[in-house]
Amino acid sequence: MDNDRIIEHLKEICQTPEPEEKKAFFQGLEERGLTSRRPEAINHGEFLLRQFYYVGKWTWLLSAVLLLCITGICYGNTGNYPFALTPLLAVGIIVETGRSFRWKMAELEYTARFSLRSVMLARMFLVGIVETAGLLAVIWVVRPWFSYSLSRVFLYMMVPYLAASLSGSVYERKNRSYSGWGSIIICFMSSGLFAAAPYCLSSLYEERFTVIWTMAFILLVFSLVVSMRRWICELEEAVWN
Amino acid sequence: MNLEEQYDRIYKYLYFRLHDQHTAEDLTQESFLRFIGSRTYQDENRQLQYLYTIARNLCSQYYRDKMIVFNFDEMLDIPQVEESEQSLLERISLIDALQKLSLEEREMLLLRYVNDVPVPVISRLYHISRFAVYRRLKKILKKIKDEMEGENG
Repeated sequence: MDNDRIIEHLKEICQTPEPEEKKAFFQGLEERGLTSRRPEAINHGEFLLRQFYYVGKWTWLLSAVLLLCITGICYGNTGNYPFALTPLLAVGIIVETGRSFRWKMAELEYTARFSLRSVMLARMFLVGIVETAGLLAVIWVVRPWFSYSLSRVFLYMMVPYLAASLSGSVYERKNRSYSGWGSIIICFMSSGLFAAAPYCLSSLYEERFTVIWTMAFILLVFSLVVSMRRWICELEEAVWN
Repeated sequence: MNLEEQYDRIYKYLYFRLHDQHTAEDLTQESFLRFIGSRTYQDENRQLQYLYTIARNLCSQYYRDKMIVFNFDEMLDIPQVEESEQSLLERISLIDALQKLSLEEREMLLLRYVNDVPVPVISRLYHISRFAVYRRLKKILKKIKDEMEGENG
């Protein structure tokens, strides 16, 4: 038997009793003027705001605790160790972006109305923007406790954060793991590397290296944008099951 | 999207998941009311997918604590006119083959070939690529064919 015959039989056996209340239902809709009504569109701002509530509470809590820790350590320590803590902030954004793959929950319902691309982009944007804003506030607060200029403190804090975000995002994109531990370990390793770096290169935080820090910052921002774009493009064709 | 036309299809989809005419019709109406009343929609090309997702979620909610059994045996009771013995045997054989498929495979067949849901919509419903849908449908049809030939041969 060929496929057409199978489909023909399938259509025959899938006959159902006629719906009894269809006419009354549509009559009721017509009386209430709902027949031509369709789901209303929302603007981008409202969409972002709605996504805000879907970001896990633990993500926000983790970011807040880490920012407070960084501030506290900066207050008590005039060395360069606090800069090595910023990669841990990237754990939040990476865990949040990988959550869809791991848990397949609210996002599935959301992606019926919005593209997965929009949902993921909105969440990455939200977590990233809030964490960056928090980090900028911390930089502003802790700056007087360091002997460096504001721009140098900014670079020393942002570069490790961006490096961890980049390596974590690349890892998550290439290995969609269910546990998410891989990218978390990467963030901790980045933190360890930046903590150990001054021991290997004692002049790392000297002023003459500012140009290299600036170049690293620009390169990391560019690479992160490219990596995120690639990740988002791959999301649409992702095979979940 | 024509709502009246989709009413029959959503009803059919729910009927084969619930096996109860009145519950299927209640949930069909609930799906449409939720669809119309929704205020969180953005992409106009996804209306059909959204409607099926609501229906599927309502169905899952209804059977949350029970196992959903997609039973084709009941369809044998539906009277058919002018049916040859060969055709009847083919249908019985097809029903047997369908029983051996997974719920997802049967649902995909129903959506594509009975409800004529476009492949891009199915791909978004199952979160798989369009090529994966084509491949899976081809595989399911082959499985049915092999099963039927095995029974008859």
